[in-house]
Amino acid sequence: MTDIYYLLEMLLILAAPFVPIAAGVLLRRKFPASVEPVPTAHKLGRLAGTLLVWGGAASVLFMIIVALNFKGIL
Amino acid sequence: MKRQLLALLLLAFAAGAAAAAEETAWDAQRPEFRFFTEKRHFTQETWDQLPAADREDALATVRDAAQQRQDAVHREYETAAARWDLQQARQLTDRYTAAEVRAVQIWVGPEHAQALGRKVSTVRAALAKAAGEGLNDADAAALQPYLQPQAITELRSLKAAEALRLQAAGQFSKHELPRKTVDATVAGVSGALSGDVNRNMAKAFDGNLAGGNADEAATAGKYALPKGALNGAVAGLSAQTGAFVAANTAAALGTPRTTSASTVKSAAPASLDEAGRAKSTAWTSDAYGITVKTAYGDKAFRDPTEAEAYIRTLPPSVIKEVKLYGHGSPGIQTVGPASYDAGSTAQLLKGKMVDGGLVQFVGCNTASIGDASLNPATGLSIAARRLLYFSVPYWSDRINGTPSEQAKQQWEKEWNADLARDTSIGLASNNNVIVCGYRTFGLVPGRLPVLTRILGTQEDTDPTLVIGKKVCYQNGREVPAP
Repeated sequence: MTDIYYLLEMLLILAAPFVPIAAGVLLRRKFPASVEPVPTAHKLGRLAGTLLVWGGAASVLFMIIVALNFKGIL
Repeated sequence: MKRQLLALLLLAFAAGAAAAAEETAWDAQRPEFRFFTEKRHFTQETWDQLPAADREDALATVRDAAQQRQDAVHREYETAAARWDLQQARQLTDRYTAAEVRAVQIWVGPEHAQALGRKVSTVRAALAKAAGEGLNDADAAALQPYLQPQAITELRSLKAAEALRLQAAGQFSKHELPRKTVDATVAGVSGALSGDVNRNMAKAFDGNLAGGNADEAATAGKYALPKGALNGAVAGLSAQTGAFVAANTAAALGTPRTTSASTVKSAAPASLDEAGRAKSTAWTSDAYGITVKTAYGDKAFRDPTEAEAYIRTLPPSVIKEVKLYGHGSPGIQTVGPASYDAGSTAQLLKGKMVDGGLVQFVGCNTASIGDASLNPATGLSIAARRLLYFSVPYWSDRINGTPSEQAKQQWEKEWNADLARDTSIGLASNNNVIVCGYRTFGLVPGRLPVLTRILGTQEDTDPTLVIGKKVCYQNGREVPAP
């Protein structure tokens, strides 16, 4: 039981940075760039999506850098 | 009437004060005082010199930790006191070092510690003898109180199994090399490699990249172990031990508090001279150092032993600030080849700091994670810390057969260790010293790969800028950063 709990915890932690990426991709699909004219709410939705995608990508990169540093590669 | 009331009030105050003094008086039987004794925070003498308010603070700070430690030591001692199987014999003889036996002495009792010490040394000797010359009847009889019968039988069969293995491998005596030649070769090789292995073991936990200068690095290359073999060895060791290996295992192997250096850059770094020679030409940074600010001026050291020697020569109460810069991990700050835990830092600086002096650990995770935060960077840092200092060692232990409860207790305790707070408690009797550390991983722009070479900051002794969440403690209590 202890093992299952910690396995789930580890998987959730590893998945955490991908959550904002997924949310960002969904937002960007919901507010595509091709709409004309672009309403303000639409612009804001798309901007939030972009921020989430890049924030998530930065998080994944951060985790990789930390892991590499931990292993002594960086 | 008023006088009577006043007298009654004074009497009540006096009784209250006496009760308070009674509550904070040194009591070796209370968990808090056992905790202080084990961690060498206070002795009865230093405790008696502490103001009453500080005593109450110190007691309140360690109350929960002391209770948990008491429970843990008692629980572990139950296993240690029972008869062991062979796996336990191997694990527990490794585990019960002098420090652990001392913990049993403090928390359980001296007679129990003595019995356990005897058991560990007897079983340890038997394990060594079993694989070599083999156990005789007298040895087996001596092991009966300590090991399960099955374990004794297995130990007695070890020699026969080893002989069969050698025979199967074709190692007959006529093919053997002269013993002297083999001994000399092994001694030479192990001597050349042991430093690397030590440093790489430590590196697996603190990620320390510190290396030497280019000339020494080049000559060190020929002694380097194959990378695959090293990684395997380091991974195996991580399973057995953990974050505290950086300090404990190296010390046990005879090189106290050594750490760091990559496989190729295996030599200890040279000190910077005034002309700035002996600088690293590595593409990544190996910046670290100790800065000591006193009334006599500031001094920065690359070599931590030089810094320690300098601090020891200083008169009492002169250090305004000490900065220890390098890699950090929960409970440990490394500075190049040296590493410092709360006990060794407090011991080094005790009596040397001015009133309100500052001790700054500049390393990742040198404080606990603290309360929940809305900052996503902090959350990410916590997630990374949990993965690296709990999940990784926990699963390594499990793969190597450590019971889940044992691995859980070990790493739940270690991953969120608070070096800054523990050091401030260790220095609690010393002029209200403030000790700061980082709750998160710290990003240091001057350490960015490649950029560090262009900027010439590989061997800086001061980081100039650290992006991370800093926290400071005074006498074990959180205070604003000065």
